Amino acid sequence: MLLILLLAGCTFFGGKQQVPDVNVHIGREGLTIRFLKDTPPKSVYEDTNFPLLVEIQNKGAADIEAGWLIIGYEQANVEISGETVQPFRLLGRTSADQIGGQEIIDLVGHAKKLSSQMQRVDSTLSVTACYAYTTDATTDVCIETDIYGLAKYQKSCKVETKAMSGGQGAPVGVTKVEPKMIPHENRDKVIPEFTIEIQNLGSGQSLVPEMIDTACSSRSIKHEAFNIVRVEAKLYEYDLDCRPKIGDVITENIPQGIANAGYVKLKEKKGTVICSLPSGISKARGTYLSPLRVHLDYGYMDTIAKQMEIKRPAS
Amino acid sequence: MKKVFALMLIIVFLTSCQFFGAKETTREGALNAEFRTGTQGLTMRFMPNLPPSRLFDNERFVTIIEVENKGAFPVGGSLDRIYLSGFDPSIITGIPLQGEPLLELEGRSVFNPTQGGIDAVSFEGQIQPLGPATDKYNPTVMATACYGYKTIATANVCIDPDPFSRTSERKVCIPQGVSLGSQGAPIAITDVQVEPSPSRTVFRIFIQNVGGGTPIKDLTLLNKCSPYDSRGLEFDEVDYITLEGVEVAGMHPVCKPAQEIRLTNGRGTIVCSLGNTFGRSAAFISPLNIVLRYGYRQTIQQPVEIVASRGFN
Repeated sequence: MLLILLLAGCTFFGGKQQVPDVNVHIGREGLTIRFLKDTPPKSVYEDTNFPLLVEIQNKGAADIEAGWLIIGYEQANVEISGETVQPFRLLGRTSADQIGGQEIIDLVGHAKKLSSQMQRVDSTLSVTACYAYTTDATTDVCIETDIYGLAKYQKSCKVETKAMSGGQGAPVGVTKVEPKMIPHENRDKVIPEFTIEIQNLGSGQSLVPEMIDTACSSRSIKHEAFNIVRVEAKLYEYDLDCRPKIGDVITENIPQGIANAGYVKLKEKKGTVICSLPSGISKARGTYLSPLRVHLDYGYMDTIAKQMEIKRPAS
Repeated sequence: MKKVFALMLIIVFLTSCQFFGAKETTREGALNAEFRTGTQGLTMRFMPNLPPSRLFDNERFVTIIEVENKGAFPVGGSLDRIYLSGFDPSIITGIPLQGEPLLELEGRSVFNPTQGGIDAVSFEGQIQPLGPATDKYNPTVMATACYGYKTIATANVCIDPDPFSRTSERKVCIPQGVSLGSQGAPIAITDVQVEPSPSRTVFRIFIQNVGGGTPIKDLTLLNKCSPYDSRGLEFDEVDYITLEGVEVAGMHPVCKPAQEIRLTNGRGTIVCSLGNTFGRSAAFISPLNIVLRYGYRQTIQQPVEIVASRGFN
């Protein structure tokens, strides 16, 4: 008994246990939407009610403060009682809550009577979520002030492209950061420049954040407002200037919300922005690793749909 | 009883002889011990957990580097310094960019052939908050030592003023190469080849960088050795050493290069020519003394993980 106690004590005190880190900034999902099982059912009889249950869950790292859920249905065949346009608010995942906020929308639908000539009809029910979301991606980048490698000293890091796969806990993510050091007009400084590749990793569409309220209230917006993401970047304490600007990607007269921000138009779900520090960094800081933080702002719209058969009872 | 007493006396006598005799041998051994051996000059190591492998932001950052002079030449000149770099100076603040001076550290000597001076250099700073969306920061902390050093080598070489004599007289020695190994410094003189001729003796001296660091042309360039120097050492300021002196048989041979020797892939050669003006034709052995002078830069690295503590405030 004594020996067992002794061994157990050694293991307890001798082992160097570290509290495991919880990283919520991984994954490609933001809000997930799904119909609960058999709600709506695959098949209903005419002139009967059916349940419509939709589960929404925020599996990403950002909070959704003002999202909208829009139920779509064919009014000729179906009626929905309850609010078919509902606001929602869901908190994102945190180190304390690794599941994320979730909610179930509970509605009742009614299959209308079929016209006399029809025995059955297929009707589609859809749910569209429209919400503002953000992505925060951080990676350490090497700031090498010796651009041409002429200074002969061992450096603690080297400038290299950083691949960032797996997402950052959001449907739109940073997939690659390519740093470059450019000469400044002042010989004692360098300009760090980063080409940042952004990709829509989810199944929905992004839209320019300045138009979120318009889009989510079902007012029409121009097609060019879709697939646009606003990008801000910071090199620890330095705000970087990103381009292109909003006027370069959209013709509609939308003011540039944040002066330093860039806007990327995603084509086939991918796009790039270039962010740099025009004021430069002094060469006297040597070569060092610094955290680069990329913040994306965008609206996101995602839709799920299900087909339901409305049939006449056999009589 | 008398026998026992006599036996004890004999034992005591023998023991004391061994005791004092051994001491004589030890003293002689110490004086003869080779201290000009080894391939290292200054060595550095991070003290355990200083810095720790994992830290939180908003904490003190303390690094202590143990410095030992394992070579045969003292360090601690006015330009000898250690620098800490590799991290964003906005995140770890308070670390002096001008480095910390290296205190005087004696090298190994005839009186202390196994141990040179040891010291500890400490750096203290403060870790700033990482920011709202940065969970971790993983710099590689680098310590750089910049110091002046010398390599002093002696090779007993055979000089034969009449190498092709027609008479078959016995000679004291035959000119041939001498392998030297290392001399308690990061730049070593590895071999000396001797080429005799009637008019001159040519010495080919082979040099190699064995310390793992970077030789610097001149001690006045040690300021530029700093990782924070905006220009840094240029390509014609590194991988060069200076020939301070060559002497053999009481004379100074003419050497090429005369002063600055370039190391290519860590190796270099000096060719010295000594005219045969000895006034005798008999071969003889003489010590060839070579002194090299240079700056030297060495680095060690330690990865560190800094974690944001905002969730725990």
